[in-house]
Amino acid sequence: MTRPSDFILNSDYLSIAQTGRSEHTLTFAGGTLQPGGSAGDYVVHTTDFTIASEPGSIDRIMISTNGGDFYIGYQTSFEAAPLAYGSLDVCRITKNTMRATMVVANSSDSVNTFPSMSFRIKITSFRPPNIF
Amino acid sequence: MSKVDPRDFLLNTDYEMDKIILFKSGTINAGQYDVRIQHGLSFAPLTFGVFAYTDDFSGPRPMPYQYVTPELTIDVGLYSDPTNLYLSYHNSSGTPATIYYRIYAFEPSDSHASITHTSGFANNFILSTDYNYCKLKEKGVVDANTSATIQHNLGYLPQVLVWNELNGYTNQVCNSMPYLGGAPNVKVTEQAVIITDIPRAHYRIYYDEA
Repeated sequence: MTRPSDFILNSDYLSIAQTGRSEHTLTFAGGTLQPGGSAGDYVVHTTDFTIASEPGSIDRIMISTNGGDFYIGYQTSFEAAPLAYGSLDVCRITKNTMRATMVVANSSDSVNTFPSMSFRIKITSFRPPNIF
Repeated sequence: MSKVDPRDFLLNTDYEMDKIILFKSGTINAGQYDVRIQHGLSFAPLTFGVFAYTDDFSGPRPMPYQYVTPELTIDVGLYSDPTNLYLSYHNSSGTPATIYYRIYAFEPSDSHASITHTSGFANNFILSTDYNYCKLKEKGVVDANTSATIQHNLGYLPQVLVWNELNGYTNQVCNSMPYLGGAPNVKVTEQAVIITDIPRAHYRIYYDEA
């Protein structure tokens, strides 16, 4: 055994290799939400986009909402409108397809509307180590 | 002497490269909330991983993972302590009943242990210059119970990984919820990484662009 922390590089330990980087801009239409707690008080929108990868790909994702700052992770939260909060989830569903799912829910006691939402998504993909 | 840009290199011995010090794979069934795997290390490893609904891992998703809509809840847990890895799988739909996982880990920056080599698992190249290997700019541990800012001053958005250590348990921060009060989140700008609501945050900042 060795102490890996003593080494800059050490081929006695596996590593993950980056296979690609990409950026995607997604836009979801706005909508109307019924009062919180009633039917129609939330919406779920999905959109798929293509991004090639290898099976077992490890993805590092960052998301920006409506031109704002980037946050790390496959999922982020946002305020779509006053008292209308949402989340965006970005995950692979097949080897070469990712799905973005936006959920917006109404916390207001009244009908609420929210505008279209735009997201920038940065994805860096890694192939798994050669052990499979 | 002119300054080099680490981004121009696939590998560079001037900059540390990630070393995977642990690998586990297997299956977990829906409704299993406390699967423990002894890892044999003397510290809580910084885990990351993927799970998939098929054994060919054609649609891998990160671990830990949470997907919550009013119609469906999927929760795949992964965290560690100095003894075990902890896994869990909940799916409100009940299907698929079994998921497949692959877990990897790095050594925390505050550990300098002797660790069994992992290259023995390999059936092909350990390193290949057909691909890029990320070059670590800095790593560390910071108290971000309220907020902590780490200046990287790179002028571009770097790749960043963060783990949340709470009460001795450590898990990767795989999502940022800035509008959910008290929930950990990590913002990355062209000059800094701002970590919020993580009592003890392990971080890795790379020269490679996000």
